[in-house]
Amino acid sequence: MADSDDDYIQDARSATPASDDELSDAGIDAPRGSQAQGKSRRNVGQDKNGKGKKKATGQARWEASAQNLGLTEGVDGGITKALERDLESLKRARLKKNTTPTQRGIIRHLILVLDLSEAMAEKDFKPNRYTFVLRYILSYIREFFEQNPISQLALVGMKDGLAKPISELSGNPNLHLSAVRALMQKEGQGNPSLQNALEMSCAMLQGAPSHGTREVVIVLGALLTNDPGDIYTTIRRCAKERLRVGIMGLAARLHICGEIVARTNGGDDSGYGVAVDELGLKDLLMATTTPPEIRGEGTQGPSALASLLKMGFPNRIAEEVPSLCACHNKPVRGGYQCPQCMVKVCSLPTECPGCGLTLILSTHLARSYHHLFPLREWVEVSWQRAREVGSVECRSCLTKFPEIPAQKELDKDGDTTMADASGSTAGGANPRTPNEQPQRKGEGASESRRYECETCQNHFCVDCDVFCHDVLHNCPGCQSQAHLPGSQVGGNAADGPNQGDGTGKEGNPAEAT
Amino acid sequence: MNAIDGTERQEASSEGPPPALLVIILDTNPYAWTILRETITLLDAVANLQIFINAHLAFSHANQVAVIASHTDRAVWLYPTPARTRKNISNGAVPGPDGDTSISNGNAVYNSNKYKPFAQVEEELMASLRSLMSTTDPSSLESTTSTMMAGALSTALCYISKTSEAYNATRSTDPNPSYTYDAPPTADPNDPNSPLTGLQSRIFIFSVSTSLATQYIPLMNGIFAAQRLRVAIDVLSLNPSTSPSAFLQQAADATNGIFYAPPRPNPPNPIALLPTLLSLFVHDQTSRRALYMPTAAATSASSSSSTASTAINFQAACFCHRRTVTIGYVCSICLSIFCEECGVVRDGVCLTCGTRLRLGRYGREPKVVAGRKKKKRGGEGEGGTASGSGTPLATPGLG
Repeated sequence: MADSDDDYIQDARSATPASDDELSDAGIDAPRGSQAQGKSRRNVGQDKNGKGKKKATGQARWEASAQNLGLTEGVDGGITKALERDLESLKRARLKKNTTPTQRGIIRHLILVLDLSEAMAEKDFKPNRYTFVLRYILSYIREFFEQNPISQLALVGMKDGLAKPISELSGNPNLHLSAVRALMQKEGQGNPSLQNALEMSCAMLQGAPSHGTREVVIVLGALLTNDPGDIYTTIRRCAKERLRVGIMGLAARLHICGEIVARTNGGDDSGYGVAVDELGLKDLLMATTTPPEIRGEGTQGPSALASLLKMGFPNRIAEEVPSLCACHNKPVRGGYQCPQCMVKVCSLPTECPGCGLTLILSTHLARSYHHLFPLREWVEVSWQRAREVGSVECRSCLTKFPEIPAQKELDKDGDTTMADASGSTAGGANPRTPNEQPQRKGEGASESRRYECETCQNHFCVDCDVFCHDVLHNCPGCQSQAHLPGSQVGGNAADGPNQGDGTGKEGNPAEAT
Repeated sequence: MNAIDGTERQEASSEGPPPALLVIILDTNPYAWTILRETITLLDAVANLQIFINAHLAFSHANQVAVIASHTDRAVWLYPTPARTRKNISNGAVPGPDGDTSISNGNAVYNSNKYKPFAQVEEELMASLRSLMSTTDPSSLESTTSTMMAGALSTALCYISKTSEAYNATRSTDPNPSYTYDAPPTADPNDPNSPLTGLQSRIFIFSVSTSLATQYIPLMNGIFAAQRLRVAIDVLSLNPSTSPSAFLQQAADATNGIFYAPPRPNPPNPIALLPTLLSLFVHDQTSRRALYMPTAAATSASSSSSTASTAINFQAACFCHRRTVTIGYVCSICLSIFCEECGVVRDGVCLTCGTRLRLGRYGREPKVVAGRKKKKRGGEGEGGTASGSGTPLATPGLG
């Protein structure tokens, strides 16, 4: 807080589109297609405290992003190291998640509302918003069902002031994918109507069981909404129906969107974000694939909405001769048999067409477990720590780490490194103050390019860090050691040249049975 | 003369089948190998595996291989050798081999009559394996009889992810990298018929251990990650018990891999491991499409009707009695599975997370539906389902 320059950089970095409250005065009557205005407003909004307003206004988007890099010259005067570090912190930024296990709504009912108005013809996303968004929606649908196998999705489009269903509420990704692909041929027209879209979502979610979440995610390209009546009545109705609305804007913040999100999420408008660039949209969209936390609704506790679900775990049947399946009435060989009414369905998860029992595989449940037991964040490793452990390569992928500089060099560089670290947020943990490390958890890149799992004390590279937290949800180190250093000290034979009897394999035939 | 450009010709020659990365997970659980000693010993198995690895490497000079050992108390790299193991070996902490090879200062002296990549893998693999066995002491074996399969699988997947990323980075023209942050994927990852580009990776699990139940969640996470990376998991199970490992079977099924458990002769006699390896597991994913493989999945298009009868154990076990259930009750918060017997259905409190659960009419006797008259009177109770305010149990007076 000493230097205003630093302050400014800090603010520009921390201002995600979701946090700029100032823009709420943009209002719903903001002129449509006023791109330049929208952009400048957004830049004003990046400056939370209004301190560096002079600098921020009139700054183009690319300038802001260049500022965001926060490049600092290294000790040798080069920026290569800083750039590398910055890339790493960008990669890791995606991981900054809350890893405390919380109750989450694993069984979701989500309505994805797409803006198909003429505002989507804008070309600020390449090739244009319409194509760009639809292409992302394709991967979004896959990701959604990957993360939420026992959830339901429906698509609604907004065009010509109307809301039109694109696909019905269903747990089958292929249905949605083909519906979106069909849309690719068309193009946007007319104005969107948020009220109509919300009304339709309410209607679609009416029949959704109470144990599941009811969510609406709106991708809005336009800066207006063309409503037939009072949208506040609709918002109240949504709130009453326990709908949770999230909105992703493509242009600028709208007051009404913030209002919708806040009122349907118990006053929390963090579900409203504006994508500043293509990556931003992807991050906003992908954030909604994680099941939402369960909140208390009014006087009831969070558990008031939980219920015990009766589910069938069908057997796979194999047949020599094809027989008709109950779901498509097509002859197929093999399938799954409902344990309650014995009809055959060809794919899971599904609802039994005969008796209405939810049919799933235990693997579908297992797919959701990582939301409930998330992998802990790994921490940056200072040079000091790297020296203590003496790690030379990534535990899992065997990529060589940069060599640990000699102790002398570390001491010499100490001051510059310190200045570096305080000047830019990209700096890793400070080697001189190891006790500060816990607070800096997950902040950015590590100076030694190593990341440590605190449970098993193994070091990993940034790629494995991202892969393990994003895709695998396992720690290869923790899973590979029966005796973790935290629980048992010295029990690990992997640490040193432990001279055993050399015949470990055949040595214990007695215990073999 | 300037028209002759060497680089162009090189590009043309690189247009072959994409290189393949094979990661072998070798289960070195001493308990299981002891049981199997009549059938096959670890040493024989490793010798056969080496021929298998050589066959894989011989397909293309760009093919790569990696070997991970899944031991009782840890999962370690065998090849490529991690620096720590290498240090142990060169320090002489590991007893030297029985005079067949020599390692001096960490640099192996290769036999000039052997293709160098073969020799290199063999050297390092054997040295690491010896190092692993010599660092296994009885105390570390006492704690568990299982194997660290989940850790080995996680390590393998990390290695594959990193290697294919590095491979894609070198070929920047590749339009469809397997795992990126910016570009939306153009090809459908779930479509088995979409063209395969980039590094072709697969995992081969040589399994001998029986139970992996304690590692259920990490193992499942690994399977899903493999699915996303489009990595096939092949399993050869020599497991001495009567039922093959259900989880590995699911792994092979979910990733379009091959699961094969050779029939167990009684009394046990030596099995022909090498023909099995070479005839079943050496093909890459592209050539498998043209072959009839004993896939774990009956759904696979190429599987014949005889292999379709392979039933996979998808059973769910209830969390209360560990009993297999076909109709279970699932807590909507923590997804624990319960059976009808336990108190959850009666009391409505989840045993795992302690949440109070709303109950349907599951535990109750079905009632005979009363006449039309009564149904009309009870109409007010129907609103409960839509608004979620009253539970069906709260109005027992209606009946």
